[in-house]
Amino acid sequence: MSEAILTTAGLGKRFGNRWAVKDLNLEVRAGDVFGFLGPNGAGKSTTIRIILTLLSPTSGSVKIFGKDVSGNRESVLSRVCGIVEKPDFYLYLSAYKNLELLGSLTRKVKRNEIFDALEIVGLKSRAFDKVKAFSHGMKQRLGIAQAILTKPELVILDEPTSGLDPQGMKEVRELVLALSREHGTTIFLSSHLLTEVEAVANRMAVLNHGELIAQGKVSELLNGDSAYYSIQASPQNEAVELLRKMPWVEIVSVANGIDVHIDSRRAAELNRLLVTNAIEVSSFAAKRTLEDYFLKITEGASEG
Amino acid sequence: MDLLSFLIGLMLLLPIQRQDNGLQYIENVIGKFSGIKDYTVDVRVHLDIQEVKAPDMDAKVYYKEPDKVKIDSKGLFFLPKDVGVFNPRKFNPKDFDISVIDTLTYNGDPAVRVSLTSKKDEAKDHKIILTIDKKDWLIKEIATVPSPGRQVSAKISYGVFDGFELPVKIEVNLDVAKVNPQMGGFDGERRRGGGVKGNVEVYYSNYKINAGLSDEIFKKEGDR
Amino acid sequence: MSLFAIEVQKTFRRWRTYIGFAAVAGAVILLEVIIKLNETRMAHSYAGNLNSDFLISGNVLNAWVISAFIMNSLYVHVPFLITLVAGDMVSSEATSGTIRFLLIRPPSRSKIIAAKFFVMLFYTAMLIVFLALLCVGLGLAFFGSGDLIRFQTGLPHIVILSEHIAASRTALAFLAAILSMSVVGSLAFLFSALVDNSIGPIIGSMAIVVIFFVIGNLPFDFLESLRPYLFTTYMNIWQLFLDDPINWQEVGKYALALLGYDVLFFGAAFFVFLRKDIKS
Repeated sequence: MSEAILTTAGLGKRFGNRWAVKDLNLEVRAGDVFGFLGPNGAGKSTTIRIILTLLSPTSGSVKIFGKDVSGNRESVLSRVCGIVEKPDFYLYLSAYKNLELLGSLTRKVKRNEIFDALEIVGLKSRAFDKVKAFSHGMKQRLGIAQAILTKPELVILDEPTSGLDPQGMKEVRELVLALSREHGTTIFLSSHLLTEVEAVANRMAVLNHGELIAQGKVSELLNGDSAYYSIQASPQNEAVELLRKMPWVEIVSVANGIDVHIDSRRAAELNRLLVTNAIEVSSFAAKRTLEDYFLKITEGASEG
Repeated sequence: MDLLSFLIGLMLLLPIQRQDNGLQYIENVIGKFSGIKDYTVDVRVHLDIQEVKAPDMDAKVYYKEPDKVKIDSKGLFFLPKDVGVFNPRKFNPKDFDISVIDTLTYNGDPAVRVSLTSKKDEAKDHKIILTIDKKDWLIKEIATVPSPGRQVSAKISYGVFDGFELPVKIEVNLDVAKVNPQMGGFDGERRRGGGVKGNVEVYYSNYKINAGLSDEIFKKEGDR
Repeated sequence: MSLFAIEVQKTFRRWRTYIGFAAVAGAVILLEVIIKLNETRMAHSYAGNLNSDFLISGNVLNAWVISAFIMNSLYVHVPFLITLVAGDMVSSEATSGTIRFLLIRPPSRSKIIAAKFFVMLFYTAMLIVFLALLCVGLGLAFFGSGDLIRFQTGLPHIVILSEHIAASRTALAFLAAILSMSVVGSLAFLFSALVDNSIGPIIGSMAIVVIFFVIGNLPFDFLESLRPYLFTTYMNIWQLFLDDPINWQEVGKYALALLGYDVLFFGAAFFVFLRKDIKS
């Protein structure tokens, strides 16, 4: 098991009488793309603000690289970077100057490092444009550029695809994956979009009403759960007949394909069943979403 | 001639006689100065006035008859107006009603005190009392009341330059108007209105007499 | 790049920073041109009743006199220009959201607030130096040099400083003005650390400066006891350097008081900033 890079122990933050985050115990390991899930208002941003020292915790502690953040701020934060909420820049400065100044807060940054970071996020050609002329998506990408500029070991991104169009969301996810795969950077990523976490995260934690309700590997957390699959099979009517005989398969709809609801652990079994019954399966795709999972466990948590 | 007519005549004549005497004294003083057509002199002013703190001030003063004056100074220079520039011609009898106040002994020499009152309407309050040394026909003291409530008096010491007796030192005593600079923002405005009382010592040196000063010198801007 | 250099770049790359310089330039140029156009009348007026009793020679209205006159703008006009920047030093980061980027970096909050404070002092110093250069430069060009004539601080007495002393005293006065203005800057800086908008600190600081001036100048005995505690009482420290002789004891007292207020306001800003939760 990889070493823990970021841990919180009994972390809590109270605003007045309301606990925004309560008794939170997180563990992010080296190399993780860690999804931090929760609906809006769950306490994700508050947690990130505490981790990055913007807020002081009411209770508990945060350790990064094995060191308590509050007592080792400078040495810890020199290896961490991130975006909290939304990337706000000095609008009257160019993208280049923003990165130069922000990067210089961590260490001396070279000109080519700034251009490299801008190139990664596709903003090299706009390096000397003032940020006030940038769209939200460009600012979001510039935010990632500043987060990776100093090559931190841990990058914390708070809702990095928020407000982006589908293409923008896709680009950000690809950037996150590239950071993780190519640079070995540990990513802590918050989102209320579970598809996003599914697409990029290997481990995750789920937060609701400030409390942790699940934490672990994405694959493990999803195993054993029911999910939706879309099947393209031929002949389709024979396939439907066969599936109707299976009590553990719920046929949701039949149109251009067959949509079914099954226990995800039996997906392979279903595929095998069709093939062994001389039905040609041209496509067997999961329509399962993390939203389903999330709704289930958060509802369960709230009911409990 | 009866006695009454004689007495009336005598009373009418007496003032004329007294004015004639005063006039003579003034004319003697001016006459002594008449050989001087122009002069330049280096002047140093030392102020000993509580309300005005200033370093000693130096200037070159140019004078040309009858009353042209020019002051050249590198820095600020204040010269008491009525007595700073020595020019007996300004006591021109045409401009003043003159009368003798009394006679006295001044430093062992016979002297006379003469009163001059301006004939000009705009300066009718301007009164001058001169103490004149009758032996040398020199003005030894000047006391003026330029306007009500303002008094300036001066004692003059003389030296001989190219055969002319001219001041080497004038000690001025001021009890004059309130100073009231207009600029200075809040602070100046809050504190305007102090009086000026004290002494000014004016030292004269390096006279150049009758050098033939051009009128052009006196046309230049500079004096305020 | 040091934190100070970073903050300098952030401050001096904003157009708002140059409003103060432009306003100072405009005001000084306008004032000196107006005085130049009315030079003879104003010189006579400046000397006041001294004209009745003295023949006055020399350059009454000169660069040093004009500079001392314009320095009266240090009571209200220049403080306002300083609050424009000082009142925005911390709050603008909160308003724009950039404070989140700033405070998740390695430098501690204490270093960041100190760097910002020193940049505020630097701006204040630059503005006063600019004012000084413009006053004296234009003054020398328009009116030439000369002796400095003015009132002694706190007394109805006229002081004349000879030309060679006037120059150095004017320089000292402008340096003292930096200290004086730093207190206004520190106050606006404190307000800037307290709130998340720029207008509040500017209006708040100016309101306090004006109210303190009014209290300090009202001729009521019961206000007398308050005066030693108003920082505005010590803001005219620059005038002490134009007195003759300089009352060094008084200068020391004023300087200590002003430094004390600087420390007090900065200390409060420091305390607030270190404990501030960034929720925006």
